[in-house]
Amino acid sequence: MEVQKGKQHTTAKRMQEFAGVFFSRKLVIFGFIIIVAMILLALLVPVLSPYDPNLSSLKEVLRHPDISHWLGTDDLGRDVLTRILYGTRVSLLVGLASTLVAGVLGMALGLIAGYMEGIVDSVIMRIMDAMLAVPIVILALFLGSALGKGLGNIIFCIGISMIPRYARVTRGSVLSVKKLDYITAGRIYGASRFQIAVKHILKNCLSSNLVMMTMNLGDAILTEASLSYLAMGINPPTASWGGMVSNGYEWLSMNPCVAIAPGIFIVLTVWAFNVCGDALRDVLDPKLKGTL
Amino acid sequence: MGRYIVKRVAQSVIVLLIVTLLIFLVMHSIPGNPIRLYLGDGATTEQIEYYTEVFGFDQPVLVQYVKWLRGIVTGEWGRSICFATDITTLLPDRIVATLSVTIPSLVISVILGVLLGIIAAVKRNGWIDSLVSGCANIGMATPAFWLAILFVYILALKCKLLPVQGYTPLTEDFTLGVRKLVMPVLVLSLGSIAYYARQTRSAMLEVINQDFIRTARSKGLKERTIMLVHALHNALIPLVTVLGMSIGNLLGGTVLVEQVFCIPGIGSLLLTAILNVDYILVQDIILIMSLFALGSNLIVDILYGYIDPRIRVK
Repeated sequence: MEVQKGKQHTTAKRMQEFAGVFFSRKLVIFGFIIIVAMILLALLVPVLSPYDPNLSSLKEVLRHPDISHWLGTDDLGRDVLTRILYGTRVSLLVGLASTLVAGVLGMALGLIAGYMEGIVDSVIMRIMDAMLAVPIVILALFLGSALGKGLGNIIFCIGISMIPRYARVTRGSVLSVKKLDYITAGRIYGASRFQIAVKHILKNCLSSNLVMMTMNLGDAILTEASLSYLAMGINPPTASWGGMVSNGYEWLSMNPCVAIAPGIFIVLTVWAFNVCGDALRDVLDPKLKGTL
Repeated sequence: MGRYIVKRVAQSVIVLLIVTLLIFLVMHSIPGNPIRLYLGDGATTEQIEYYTEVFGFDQPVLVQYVKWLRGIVTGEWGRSICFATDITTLLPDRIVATLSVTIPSLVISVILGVLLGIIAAVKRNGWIDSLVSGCANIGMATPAFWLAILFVYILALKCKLLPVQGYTPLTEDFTLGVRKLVMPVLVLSLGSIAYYARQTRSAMLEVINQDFIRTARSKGLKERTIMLVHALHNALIPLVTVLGMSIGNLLGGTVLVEQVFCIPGIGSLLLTAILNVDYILVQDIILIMSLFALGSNLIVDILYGYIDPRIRVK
């Protein structure tokens, strides 16, 4: 009983330490609050807003901000604030899912390349080099043109175009971990290749990849917004921040809110994720400072 | 050094070959005949067959790939389906338009970014550092297309200082051309300035904490000499690499900026090509873009070999 109590105490203390370092800068607290607020708003929009995001009402086209429509209405009379909040769902979902796709596939490829070495390694890494040679937005755009638009495809396209970074980092740490004594020890004990690769080596690469994933969340959200802006992302009428900016651009002189307000949400969200990613890096992996 | 250069060039050529192969395979995995898509439902079977043969889409994929590759080398870049012209006649003007946005923006962002980064590192934790770092963080979170629209609203619509959008070649009307380029260049630069400032700051901070800087201080050198000569020289090495890698991002950014400002560059050409499933044009443009990105990486790597002898041996 006492032992367990002691254990709980240390975990609680460790969590406290973790939070202490993580929130050591005031900006991080602010960023964290923004992220939590965005998630809550995305979940609660249907309760908070009396409007339907896709229902047009031609009587209320391009109204300026007032008490009933805080950010005005767009060219089809839809409430801008409501649509922005529904857009939060798309942005967060695409950001998280595509980063997950990139992280999982990238780690797998990096692990295979680093563990097998030789020809498999060369083939995988040369393909990664080739993918890195094409700018990310262009790569995602190009893959999107082959796969088509829509939520699932966008997640997949953005995810794939971010794979090379994870593969490179994972491969690098696999190569260095592989030579350590405890891996040899494991092998002598008769652990299978798969066991060693997944249980022992992958575990070691996890924290740097997690840090990188947090830091890339903002990038993924920006890429989604860019693709949707170019009408190559989320299909209208589904609300997405990039698509709303693009639509609002046409009506800029009549109601600037339609184009400018969604952008402020993009900046806030991406900024918050970047700041929290930086803080997480400082906590989990101080060695990575400056390299990522 | 010669061997190092040869090795790096060979590596880049191999990567470029893989790029072409990947582009080609992805492009040809799109279901449907591009000719049918372009001609629409009203086209007769004979028409479709005729044009499919003219463009060579009836041949095996591998034969098409080799043909395309041979064309790239010999200067026959193929025909665009939607513009109905040779791609080689289409590209030069477009590339000039894109470069007249990207080159000034590259110069501005490198100079300002490095300068701000140095100032932030030297005055570490002062108010200038907080301001520069804070702005850099916000700059990196700002989407270029939105910033462009904000600029259009404030500078063009409200203050009426600059034309809203469009492009005039500098050779045609220099003043008007420059006036139209101001906003695109600014928008494209701001993100990069933020990025370079952040990178310069962290590279400088890494160097400043090293022993030889302390030695220089104890020798009684002026602080300015230490920072600009000793620290910057060493911080430049990682910076140059970052610069080489960011040329690609700049090209990615132009697609969006060209779209907002209606500039007929290769970025907007790529979008048109993608929307019209113009196979060969898409392949060619992505090839050009990766050629620029790989080329700048290669130049940087070779420079790097000159600056830092340790690299050549690796």
